Amino acid sequence: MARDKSINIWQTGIFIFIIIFANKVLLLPSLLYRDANVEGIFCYLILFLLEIGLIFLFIVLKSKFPNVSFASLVKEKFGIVTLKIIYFLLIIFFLCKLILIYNVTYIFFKDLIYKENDTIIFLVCFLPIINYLAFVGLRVLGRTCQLFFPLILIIALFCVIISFIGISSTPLFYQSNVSEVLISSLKHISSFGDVIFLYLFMDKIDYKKGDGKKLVFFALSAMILIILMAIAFYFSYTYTSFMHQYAIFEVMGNIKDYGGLGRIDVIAVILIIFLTYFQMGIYLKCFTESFNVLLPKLHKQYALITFDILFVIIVELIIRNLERTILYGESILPYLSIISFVIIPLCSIIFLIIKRRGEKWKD
Amino acid sequence: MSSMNFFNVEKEIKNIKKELHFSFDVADRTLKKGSVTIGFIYLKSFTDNLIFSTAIYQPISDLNEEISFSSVKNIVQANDVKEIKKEEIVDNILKGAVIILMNNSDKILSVDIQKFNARAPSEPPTTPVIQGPREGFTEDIKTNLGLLRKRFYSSDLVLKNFDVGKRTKTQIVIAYLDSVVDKKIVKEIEKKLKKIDIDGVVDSYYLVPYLSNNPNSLFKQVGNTEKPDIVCAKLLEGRVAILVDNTPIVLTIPFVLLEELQNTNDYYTNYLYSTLLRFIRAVGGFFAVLGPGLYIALQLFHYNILPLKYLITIADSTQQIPFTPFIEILFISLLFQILYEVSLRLPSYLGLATSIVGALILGDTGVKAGLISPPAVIVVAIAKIALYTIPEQAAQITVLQFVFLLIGASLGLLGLIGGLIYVISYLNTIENFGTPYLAPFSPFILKDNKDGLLRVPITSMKDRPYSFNNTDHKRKGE
Repeated sequence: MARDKSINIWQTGIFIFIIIFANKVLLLPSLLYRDANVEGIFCYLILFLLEIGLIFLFIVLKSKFPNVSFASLVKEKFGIVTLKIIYFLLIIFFLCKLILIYNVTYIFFKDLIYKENDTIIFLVCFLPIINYLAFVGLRVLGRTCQLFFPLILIIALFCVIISFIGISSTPLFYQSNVSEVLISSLKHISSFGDVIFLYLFMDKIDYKKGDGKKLVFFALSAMILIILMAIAFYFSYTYTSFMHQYAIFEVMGNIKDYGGLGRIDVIAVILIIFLTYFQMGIYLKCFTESFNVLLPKLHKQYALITFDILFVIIVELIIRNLERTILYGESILPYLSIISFVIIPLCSIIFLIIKRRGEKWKD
Repeated sequence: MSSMNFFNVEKEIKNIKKELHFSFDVADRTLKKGSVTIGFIYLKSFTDNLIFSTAIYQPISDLNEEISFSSVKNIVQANDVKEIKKEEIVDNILKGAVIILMNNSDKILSVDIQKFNARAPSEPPTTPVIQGPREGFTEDIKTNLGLLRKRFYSSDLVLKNFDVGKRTKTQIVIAYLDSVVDKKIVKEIEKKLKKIDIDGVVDSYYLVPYLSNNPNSLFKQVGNTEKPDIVCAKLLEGRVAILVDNTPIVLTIPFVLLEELQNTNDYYTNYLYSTLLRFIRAVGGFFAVLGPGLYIALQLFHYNILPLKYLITIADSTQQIPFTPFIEILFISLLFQILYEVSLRLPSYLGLATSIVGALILGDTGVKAGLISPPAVIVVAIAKIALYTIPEQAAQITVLQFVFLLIGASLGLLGLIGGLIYVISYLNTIENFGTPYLAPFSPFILKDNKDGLLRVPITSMKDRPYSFNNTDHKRKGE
């Protein structure tokens, strides 16, 4: 079995696309409209800038430290205690993210597809697959995503393009002020910053000079598609956008009889299923990576067992409905997003400054 | 050389016969010419008796000059005449040679006159072609080697011989193009063949588990074909062929799943048409695996996402059915599988009768009796037919079909897509001889996709595959 070898730049780009796209096409447009009306689009733009910043920082860091892992950099510059604290926080962050994604997807499928409240089906579907994806290694995960990527891209493009057919009117702009947009951005910051997975796999990405452009290209493609889809959603449902929770499904549902194709909203369901599996697989891989840094002597299967136990307990006992899930996503997770937008970038900047000083000192 | 080492011919023949357990087909002849006794020992069931008489016995018997080892060696009229060691006598006899012993020499002569019982090369039933060569391999390895040799008038083709199987000592030949193949692959194959500890090799399939990295896997990891033109094309790509005596199936290594989407006919017809056919094969394979599972998932879990018209049609036709949808589909699938097994084993004149009983009587009557619904019959029939768009993977697809049927019935669409992701991830873990199983799709290798799901014209195929190592990636140009 090919385990945990490196992934190429295309596979990394595909990870970026999936992570950026998957997190923001289901609940987020509706939630942003609720808080910032149609100006929710600006929330996307603001937070995407931060996300692009994270990618740029990664590119610079990778160019300066090509074959070094982020963990060893943290350990070298800040010591083992800081390393353990950061990676402990990362474990919590990824666990919370996984729970959030699972819950959102569960509620979506329960409401629209399964019409049943049987959580066992969902756990039986998700847990073994994402465990396997995280277990077989980064290269296998990368190759699997690569194989399905054309399908994902075609469906995503189809959904976005066809969603414009459902546009009926134009919503009014300038209903929210700048502070509302900023507050809304902050509230939903946890749906962004997922590209920090790049830092965790830093030493496992084959990177050559000039590859950064490819990463930015994938990120920008995903961002453009999301913004287009959000525009189509707001322009389709205008003032009732906040009532339609599952954006990509709803915009497809709005034009479901197009061309006599029947219910093409089913295509969006297939897209969501693929994205959820891969997104959760990548996050779980991040979880196990962080776990192995925190407890290096333990085999990675212990990371998976720990995750499974925590996941089942939290999902089954604590969060079971949409309101609670949204509350959880807007209250706890934004604080944890501090890792994406503060701790990791701060560490990276410090590494770069130290490196630059070292080079100057040598000169 | 002292006369002490010369053979006592009669005694030696007796010893050899004893070693061969006095089998009834061991024949021996002695010829006395003056003081010289010449002994012949061979298998009468396995050697050509006419050649023995006319090309060996008669010329020696008619020899006027003084009988010596060299004179006998020169007079024998056969292609393969060689001097062998005493311990090689039995092996040579068993391979169809006549052994010649003389009481005035310590040397032993082996003359290969194996009887050629091979059938003529004909079109293999498993890979019929519309256009292109119709020759197929036979059970005789010499014929097969000849079929390969006549496609390469070049010294580049290397053939290496091995004997595998403690008791059968089956002849195995590996073939490759010296200037193209990656020698590491050849060495690895040689190493694996030498390590095989088995009492007999009855068919080339016996070698497959020994050559695969995941021998217990459901998925085929070694290529096989009955056609010399396919082997020729694969050798030109830098692959290694393994020919096994007594079987027309030749193995090729390294193997990638894509090879199953490719067909000989693709290369003997228009490239656009073959591209279309490959897409159809891929869709057929996909539907064969997922079709019944998807149907059952939609019927059991997601009827609400079906368009109303379809839903009404299905509801109308299934409301009188006494079984659950899962049992219904499972029953039809099993019925098809039973009919398939029966038709394979029945004589061909009964095949038509089985088809009539299966398709018309069981299918039609089952629907009319209200035991099975027409949509279920259609779905299973399409899936079972689609299975044979990739006939080489029929066994694997059949197993997956049942697995996905079970998943669809118990977990719905979410389970089906999860299962699909699992299967693809698993396939991505398989690597044989350094070749990713799903190459050139994942990892994506652009140049290899010229002959992937798409097929470009032969003039544009300038490179050998990059999916596996070979020493010369350029087919054309510099």
